Amino acid sequence: MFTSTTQNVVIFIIIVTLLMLLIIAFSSILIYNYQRRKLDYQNGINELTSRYESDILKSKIKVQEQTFQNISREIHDNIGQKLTLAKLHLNQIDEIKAGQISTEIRDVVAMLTDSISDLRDLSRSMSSDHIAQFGFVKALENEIFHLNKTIHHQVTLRVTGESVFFSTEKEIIIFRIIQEALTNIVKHAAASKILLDLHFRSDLFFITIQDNGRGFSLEKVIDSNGINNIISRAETLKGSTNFHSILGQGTTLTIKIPYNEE
Amino acid sequence: MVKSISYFLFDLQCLTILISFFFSLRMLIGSTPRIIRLFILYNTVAVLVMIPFFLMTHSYTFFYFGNSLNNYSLVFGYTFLSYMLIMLMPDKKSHVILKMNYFLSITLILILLYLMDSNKINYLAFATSHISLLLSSIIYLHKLYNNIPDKNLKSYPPFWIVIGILFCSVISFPLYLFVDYLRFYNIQFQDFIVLSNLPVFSYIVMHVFFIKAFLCSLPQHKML
Repeated sequence: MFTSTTQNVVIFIIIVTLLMLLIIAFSSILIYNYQRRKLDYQNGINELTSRYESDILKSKIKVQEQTFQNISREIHDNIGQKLTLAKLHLNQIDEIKAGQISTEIRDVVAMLTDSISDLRDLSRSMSSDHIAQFGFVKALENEIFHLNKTIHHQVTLRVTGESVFFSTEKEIIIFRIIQEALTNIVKHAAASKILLDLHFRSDLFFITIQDNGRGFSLEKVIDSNGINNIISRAETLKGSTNFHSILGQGTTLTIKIPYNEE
Repeated sequence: MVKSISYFLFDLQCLTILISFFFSLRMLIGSTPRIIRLFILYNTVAVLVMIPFFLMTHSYTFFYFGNSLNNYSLVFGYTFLSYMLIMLMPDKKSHVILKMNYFLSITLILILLYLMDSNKINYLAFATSHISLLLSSIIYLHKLYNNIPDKNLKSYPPFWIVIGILFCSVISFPLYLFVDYLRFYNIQFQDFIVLSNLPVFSYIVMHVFFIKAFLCSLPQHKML
């Protein structure tokens, strides 16, 4: 049998062991709970930052859109009108002094006609009124119609799936994304064929813009304004972008935009 | 057997104090926070107090001033740890609460030391210091949990120091508090292995946590 002293020692060892376990458990719980709170806090901060950045981006786009509207109106109402008036005056000279008219004046009239046409195109592409009125698909058809007027590009639009109605704000952003991509192709790709595919899938809106241009190395153009504009605009709609380009063969840009931004 | 356990625990306590002392010496090199560096002072005093007790235990030399030394080292130890806890507090309100706690407790401790025989270990003074430190540690942990959780506790030295103080106090204070009560019933503190050795165990735990805190404070070298 155990003596009283041995019993005391055993009790002591048991108590010390229990205390040590308690200390380890307590410290672990404290650390675990704190780390969990830290993680929650970090997630909260990240969410706030992301929401803040998204709001900033949306505001920037809104301001930009407003600027576009103002410039478009200015071109249409002021500069366009003045140029048209100048053209009318020149035409009057043409009618009054037909015999004395010089070839230079005819050239000026032709240049003015081109400028007025260009300005109208610019005004139309900057304005978002027609997007709000007819929707972005119609606006894109219009844009493509004007692009196809040039002999350099052949743009094809294909719309598949059951159309989904977006808010005007969202439609303007989608339109600007595609417009930016088309502008980039026209300016830099030297492509003869462009295929724009809009696919309304059941879960998301899928855009593919394909060209047969010279392609590019993504590392070299990753900081360019055009590409960044496309990416940031898509991000405001919680969308994602993917560029796939092969030098000498062309580029494919795919954009996925969810119907629900949450 | 009882003695051998007591000796073992005492030697273990001396060893942890020595390791803690050497680690705190290491804190002098590098950019360690001032509050952690000050631990060299605390550990030096702990080693100086430990030496006569070590000699008393192992060579049967009797030091008349042994218990007095223990009593008065309490004033230093308690003041140091309280100062450290006050410095760790993040806001002014907690500073004021902890300072009040310190001044009330130190007054009581000094009165107890003055009134009672200084040649005997003053258990009530020890209990008072531990209750006060326990309260301060709880306030610190409460503040830590209610502030922005931006720290990595596993490598945060103040956390381990406070946890060490908390456990030492929580284990020690009830034992010290009821020693006189047990004496009243003619039960000697030394007769109970659990009672007499648990405070030693609690000091070992505290110094182990201090060592952990010093290890967290060591400059991290890049792995080759």
